[in-house]
Amino acid sequence: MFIVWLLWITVVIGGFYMGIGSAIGSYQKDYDIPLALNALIYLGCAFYGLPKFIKFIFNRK
Amino acid sequence: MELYGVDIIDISFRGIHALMAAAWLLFDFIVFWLHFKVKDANAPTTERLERARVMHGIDTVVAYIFLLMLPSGIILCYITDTPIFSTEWLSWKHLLYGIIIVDALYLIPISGTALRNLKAIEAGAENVDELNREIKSKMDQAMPAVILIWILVFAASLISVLNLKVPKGQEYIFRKTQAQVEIKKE
Repeated sequence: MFIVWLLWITVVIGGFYMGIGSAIGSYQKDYDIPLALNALIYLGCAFYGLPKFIKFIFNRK
Repeated sequence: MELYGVDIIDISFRGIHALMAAAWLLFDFIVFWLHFKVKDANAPTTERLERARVMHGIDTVVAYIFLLMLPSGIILCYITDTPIFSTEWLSWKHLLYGIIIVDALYLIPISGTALRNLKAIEAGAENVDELNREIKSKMDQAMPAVILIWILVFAASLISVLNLKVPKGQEYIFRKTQAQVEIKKE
């Protein structure tokens, strides 16, 4: 079960951390391409995983 | 914390991070090697099930390595004073890791199929052919994603190796000379 927690924490919390950080970094460096791509991928993963993570937290028995 | 000119914390985290990448590739290759027999419908079920169990165990270790790679990398950035979001080579490495996460999200629903189906076959399920077909098709479906992960992990490791620097004024990569230690003490 710990690995499932670790998975969603990495995908959602790690995704938001990396995504928001990359988005800010990209904006500060005149829309740097690698950072913009990072923001896209990490925020995409975070938003994809968020409903699953919430469902996982509240549907535990 | 230094010993014989070696920054123990710095070296430990660098070592752990590098070893994790090496173990990731090695364990993933072992799983790849084991999968051939597991998907072979002509092999004895007991042997296939045994291999599937071992595969599943090793895959769990790989999953831990994959998931702990991001926090270990972030900690390493703080320890080595490497800016996480403004170091160009690191941005490319993060991009590769991001693609690996997407790849992993694609692989998650596939993983565990072989073990589940083989347990059903062992328990006397009637639709053996269908279960065997599913094992093979799911494993074949996963293969391009697995190979992509290997390429990405190898590329990320290569980016790191090519960007290793000798610290300023330091002769050896991993340790300070006696003179440097003495200067620092003064």
